[in-house]
Amino acid sequence: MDLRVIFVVGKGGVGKTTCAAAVAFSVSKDSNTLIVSLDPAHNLGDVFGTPLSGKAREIKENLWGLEVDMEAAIKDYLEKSSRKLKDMYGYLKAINIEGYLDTIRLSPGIEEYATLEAIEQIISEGQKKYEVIVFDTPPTGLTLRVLALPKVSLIWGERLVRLRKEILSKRLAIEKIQGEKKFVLEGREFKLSTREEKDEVMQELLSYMKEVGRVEELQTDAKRCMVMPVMNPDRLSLFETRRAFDTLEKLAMPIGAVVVNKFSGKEDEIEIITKAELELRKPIRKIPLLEREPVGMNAIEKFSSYLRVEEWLPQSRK
Amino acid sequence: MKLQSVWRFVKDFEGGLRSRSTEYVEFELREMENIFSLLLVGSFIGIPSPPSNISIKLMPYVVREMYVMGRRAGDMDDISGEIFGLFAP
Repeated sequence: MDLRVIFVVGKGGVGKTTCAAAVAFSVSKDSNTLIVSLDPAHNLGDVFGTPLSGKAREIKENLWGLEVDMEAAIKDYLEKSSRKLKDMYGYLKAINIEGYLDTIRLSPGIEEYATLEAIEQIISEGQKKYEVIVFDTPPTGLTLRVLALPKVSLIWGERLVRLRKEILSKRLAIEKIQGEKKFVLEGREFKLSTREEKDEVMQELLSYMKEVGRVEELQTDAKRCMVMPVMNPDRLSLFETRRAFDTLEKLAMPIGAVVVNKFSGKEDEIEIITKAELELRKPIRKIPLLEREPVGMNAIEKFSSYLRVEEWLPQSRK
Repeated sequence: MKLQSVWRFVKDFEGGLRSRSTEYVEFELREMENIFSLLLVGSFIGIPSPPSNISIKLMPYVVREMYVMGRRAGDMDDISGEIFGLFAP
């Protein structure tokens, strides 16, 4: 099964969740679809009028939804790592590993890493079951940082692999003259690996790069991935969308249609839309300012007709 | 008995030569291991570091490198002594 992924991005409050729900509703007509909310302030369940949790739940035929609990994801992510760390460094009091972990927990950026881990996990588990995964993302700033992470991680990974290779080759040279070397620290013995295939650091690095590489490859493949920016017909929203476009282009991420939500037809709004068409050079989908909030399945179905998803979303290669 | 002593002397002499021949490479290796650890936890002292998730993933396997970094920090006040020690006869 060919998995296609859609990221719905935009400034806080523009209506990303409703648009994501509408896209998911549209594609679920002929593809098994999962919609995932990554926004720490979830309201995906409210939009569909059905409670959602951290476990995928069927919303209607072919459409599943889940809300990732980011707090729990961060906790899980750190706990997994800290268990291994404490085991290895428990006796090295000088390094104060507990303090290190507490600092990481509060360090800027940890939310982005946890979000990326969540995306990786959902994609790798979801590709057996779903044909389309729609991500309703947190506001633009955080999302763009998350989307940039695979590229940054790959650059760092390559550098560390290069340095590690040099370390291993030096160790091997020493081993050839002096025989196998062991490192003993407070009674515990560590064998110093000299070969890439036996070096845990190298293996961990390579497997991480493979994982991240898969996400990066998917992100930049226009046949499998699409970003759908959502904005409101106002100046600030246009500025932010333009900045998001710059970053997405640098990351070589394919961009689908731009949704202009809550369009009331005023003259200045028409002006903004004309500007958006000229500057962004992408299909624009105008969604009128509705009298009632689009909540519930019928409203979402009606809302989805404005998006005409089939015109810009890459078709499945089933 | 005498032969054994001679043999031991030859072995020790050979061992001495072997360790002497790798001294420079070992020094270089320690430096690299130190740099590797510094990169992983460098964000604490303002060195550009990889994303924290890479550091967290690798930390359990770099006990030796962290130890070398700790020792290196301790020996910082006598770094020239260590370098000149390499050239001692």
